[in-house]
Amino acid sequence: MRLDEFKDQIYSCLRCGFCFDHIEGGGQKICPPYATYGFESYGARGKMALARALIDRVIDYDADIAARVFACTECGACQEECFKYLSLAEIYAAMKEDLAERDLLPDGRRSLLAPLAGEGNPYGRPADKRLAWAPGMERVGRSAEVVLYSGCTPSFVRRGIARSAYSLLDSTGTDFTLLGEEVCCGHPHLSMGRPDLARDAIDKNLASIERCGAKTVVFTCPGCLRTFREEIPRLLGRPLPFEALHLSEFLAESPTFRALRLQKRPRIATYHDPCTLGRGLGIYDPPRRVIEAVPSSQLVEMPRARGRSFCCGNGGFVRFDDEGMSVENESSRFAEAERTEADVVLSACPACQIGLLDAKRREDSPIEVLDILEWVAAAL
Amino acid sequence: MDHDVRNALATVVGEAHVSDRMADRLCYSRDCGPDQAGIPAVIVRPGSTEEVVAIVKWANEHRRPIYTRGRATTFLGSGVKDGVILLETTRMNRVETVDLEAGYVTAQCGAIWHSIDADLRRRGRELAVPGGGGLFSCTIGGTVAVNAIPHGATEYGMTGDHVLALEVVLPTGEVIKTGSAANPASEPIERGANGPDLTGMFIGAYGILGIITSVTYRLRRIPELETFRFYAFDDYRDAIDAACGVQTQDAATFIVGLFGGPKPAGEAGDAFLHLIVRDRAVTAEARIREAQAICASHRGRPRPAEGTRRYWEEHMYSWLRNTAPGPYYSDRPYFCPEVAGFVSTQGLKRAVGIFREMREEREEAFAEHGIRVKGLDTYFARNGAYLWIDTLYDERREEALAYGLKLRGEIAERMFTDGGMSPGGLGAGVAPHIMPKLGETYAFLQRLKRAMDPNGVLNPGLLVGQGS
Repeated sequence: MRLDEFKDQIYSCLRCGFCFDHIEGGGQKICPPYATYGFESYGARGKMALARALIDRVIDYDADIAARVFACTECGACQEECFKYLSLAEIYAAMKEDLAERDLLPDGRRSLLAPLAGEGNPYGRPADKRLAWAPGMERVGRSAEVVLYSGCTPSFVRRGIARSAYSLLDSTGTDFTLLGEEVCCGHPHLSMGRPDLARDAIDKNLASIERCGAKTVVFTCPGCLRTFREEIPRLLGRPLPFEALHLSEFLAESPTFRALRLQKRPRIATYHDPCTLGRGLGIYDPPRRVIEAVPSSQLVEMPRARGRSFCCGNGGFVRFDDEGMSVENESSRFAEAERTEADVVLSACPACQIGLLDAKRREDSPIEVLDILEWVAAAL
Repeated sequence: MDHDVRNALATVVGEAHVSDRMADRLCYSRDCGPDQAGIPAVIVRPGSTEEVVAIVKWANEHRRPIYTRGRATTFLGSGVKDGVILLETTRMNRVETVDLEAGYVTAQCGAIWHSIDADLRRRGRELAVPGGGGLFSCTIGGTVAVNAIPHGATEYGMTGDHVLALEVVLPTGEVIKTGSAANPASEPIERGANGPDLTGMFIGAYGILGIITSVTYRLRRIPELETFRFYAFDDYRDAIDAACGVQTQDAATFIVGLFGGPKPAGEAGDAFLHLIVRDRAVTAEARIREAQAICASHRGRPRPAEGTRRYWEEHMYSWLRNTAPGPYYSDRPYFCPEVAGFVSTQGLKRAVGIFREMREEREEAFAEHGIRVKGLDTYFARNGAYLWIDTLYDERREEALAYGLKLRGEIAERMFTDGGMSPGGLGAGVAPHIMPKLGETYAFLQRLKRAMDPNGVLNPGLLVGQGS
């Protein structure tokens, strides 16, 4: 059992329950599945109790445990609050691997495997339409300093993000290229406990990037970024021969971006920290600097921001198995954004944007929901 | 059979708030302490007092025991038995009234203590004792039910001292209110109203006499100034005399003493005192001057008090030893079979001496079982001291657990007898070592329990289950 490797950490759980509540913020729940279901088994302390019973062979994995482990949105809030600084994300990943090995993947997640294998994306869209959003093919598959890795969701679902990224790199005079043979980064496989299946995708993408000779790869999706920056080097056991950056990090450090004469947008914006970008990768300031580059705009923070941001309820591909939970938590987060009285809510993650947009539609709210790249690109 | 229980309770609280799945039940067994416990048959999460009443009445009718739980952040032992109903209160988390003029807050039992406090702080108030003992996630109902020790006790006293009124579901399902709240036309402003102090009967009773469903608690205006001092002593008896002097002269709001365990980082000495003064600026300065003089007269050496300040601001015990929480806690797969209780301030000299003696006698056994001493820390109270004897065992080693629990029993019994200690927290872990020694008092408590809970449905076995 892969989980056995974590015995010391599992035994170290104090059961203090810091992983349940945002104490300073009025006691809101920090964990989306726990907020929805209320039973401890959905929160970190409960999952650690289950992990301990599993490694002690008191119980064995079953569908109930799978439902609870795969309800995790991978938001990392529990790990942020953990009194004992446990590597909870790694423990959950090990539980997922054990569950996958026992053929206990939930149906929704399982249904992603075929399209990922066939078309290289979880949506089952034709692989040859991946770059259909691009304004032309002249930047595809050529040698360049920078690769814009567009990612599955911006390529097929939130194409405005991909187009905005392209425009911004173009406007800053960046020597960049798109990958003609880009496939899914492997994040869904890893999130499903199938790192074995991620290897093919990883090898294909690395070969494509290598052919371009790029020194930097920029990402619009935090999930893709984390896969490249953290997961792939771990799986391969070596560092990557290029730097992986979120586009906001790239722009925030770019003198040509700072020199752009952006149009004024006298609007009040609030920013939802995507969990993977913020707590996961520690990227809090670059998105804010990019937002504030737009003249005349004002950024107001939600009460729960940065390391204490609340998940939009859409991480970890949970929506494919538990839409109700995603809906409840995205509505909760959207309501928090609305209470700032901003007229636009920004994020830096396509999955977060989808969730917040759904909440906006349900609420028939006038507040606009944009990715930070769309926000800035509209001011070009 | 248990599925019938689940179905019956689902009609009370709704399908979403009851579970008989093993994956859920497993998570409601132990508290934060070392004691193993049973696995309940059903978890039920009521959302209102009315639902608690319905559950309790059903349990009486069907003779099914109920164990109650907030966040279960005690180290005292939950005492949960196999096959019982586990009633968890965290859905009942509404803050019902905050009256800054009358100086109280009323909250449902499952509201998180520190969340209530954080909200009050934004209004310049705080709950009348700091921290409510327990861990950050403790509920107000649970904190009162176990009468948890606050993060500082010298001037402000114990958790239970500031409870103004309670709403309680009795073991047979009736709902009572205590203090002035018992009068429907009154407000919950005074505990001493309307006859005997019924409030006190439920404080520290660990839920055996009723389920606290709502707590009214006293507020305090946040003082103008907070100031901190830290002293090292080469002899623990000097430290105790200094603490006694500061206590007698009312020269500090809180005194915390360290008489064992790891020394604070970068410090030398046998014992240490942290002093915290909170008051109006003029008064605070006068008090701290007096405290300094007292410590100096007992050969205390003033040391940098950054750890004291951090401890107070963050309520992290590691700062008592000048150490950040990360390095202090993160490398420890250790559990703490804690023994803690009240002794007189001068009696503390004997208690500390006894533990040091016990430790010396057991040096080989400690080494063999990897037992560590986390601390011999003391919150000086208004007219005594609350001493924690924290030994740690490695839970990965079964023999270490067995020894750790045996040691806890030995310490508890020796401290209760020779050390003159009266335990504060008494869960399933320590109670069997202590309660039967209380003689007539214990017998009375047993009679009271039988009279109030004739069917034995509420937390049976806890506190009064042994020695009858």
